[in-house]
Amino acid sequence: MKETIIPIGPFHPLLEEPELFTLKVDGDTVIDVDVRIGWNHRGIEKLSQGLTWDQAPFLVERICGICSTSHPYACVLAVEDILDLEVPPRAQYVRGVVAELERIHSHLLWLGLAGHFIGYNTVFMWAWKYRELTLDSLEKLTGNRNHYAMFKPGGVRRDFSAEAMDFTMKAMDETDKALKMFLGVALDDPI
Amino acid sequence: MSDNNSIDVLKEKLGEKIRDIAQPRKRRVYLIVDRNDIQDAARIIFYDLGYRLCTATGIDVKNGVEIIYHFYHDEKRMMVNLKTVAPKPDLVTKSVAAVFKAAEWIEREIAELFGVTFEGHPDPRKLLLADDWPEGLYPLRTDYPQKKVDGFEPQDVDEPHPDATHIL
Repeated sequence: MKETIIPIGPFHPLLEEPELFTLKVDGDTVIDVDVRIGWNHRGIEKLSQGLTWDQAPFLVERICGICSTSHPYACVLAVEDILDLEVPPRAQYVRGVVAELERIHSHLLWLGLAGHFIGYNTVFMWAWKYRELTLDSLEKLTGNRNHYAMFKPGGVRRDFSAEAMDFTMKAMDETDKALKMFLGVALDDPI
Repeated sequence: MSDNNSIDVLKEKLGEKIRDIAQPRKRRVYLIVDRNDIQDAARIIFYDLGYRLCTATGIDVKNGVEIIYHFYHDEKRMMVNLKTVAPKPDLVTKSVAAVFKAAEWIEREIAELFGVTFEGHPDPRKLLLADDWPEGLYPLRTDYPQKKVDGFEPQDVDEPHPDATHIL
């Protein structure tokens, strides 16, 4: 058996972030792979050691660009757990709304990318088009399309305005309608 | 949903090996064992109780580095946190990579960032740090200097900043 080693990376147009895959191949069969990561290690844990508990959510929010609720949410929950803090119901609702909107935009993003990767770019274009409604709602509600900075140990940093909530309700109705249409189109596509 | 079943099974199967076991909240169990019993405990939690390994974390504590393996059960929605300490000065503990393949990477990370040695680890290379990272320098230890960012001073959190919006 003749083994060939093919390195892919660490910098390669196919890769979204630097990583090195050392493939061991026999003809067309991949026998083994060695993965090296760490080119983008930012040391968030060490950085956050120098911050107060109030500052840490802003840092951990930046762990991931498209899931900027999950990490601060986990962070403030941990702090609340340690301090035994009770979060007021309205703040819990605000957190819930932000987290759910982020879930919607994240799912649409990945739906679009899944379409893109299989070469079905209509799905990509449409999923990302309708994702804009969610991002607009988040911008109106929190002030940012991403990295909302809403979370604070013990509560949230700001309330929603009535106007933004109206906008979100309408945007969600529209998203719902658009996605139903989109689902029908994508599933019934003769191509 | 919660059950006390997990704790009973753990007590029964591990018996003497348990250093301490506590259930501070309904859905969370802390289990402390000796570093030599870590594999047995992990096997019981995984095979007998059906928990899955989420991740592991390390903390630099007074007497060594505390390694916590976090296990979660999706149906019971319960967490078991398996703790052990790699004591100073040698910071040696047992690897659970023989039980879970998935533990390999996180143990490599803890090893390079804290200087812990995981005995029986199949592939103890560095994971994140550069190949030419200096020997004996472990970034997540508390004695590793925290680099100060220019002009940055942690603010007093008791007194809210005048521009800060109120907490609900």
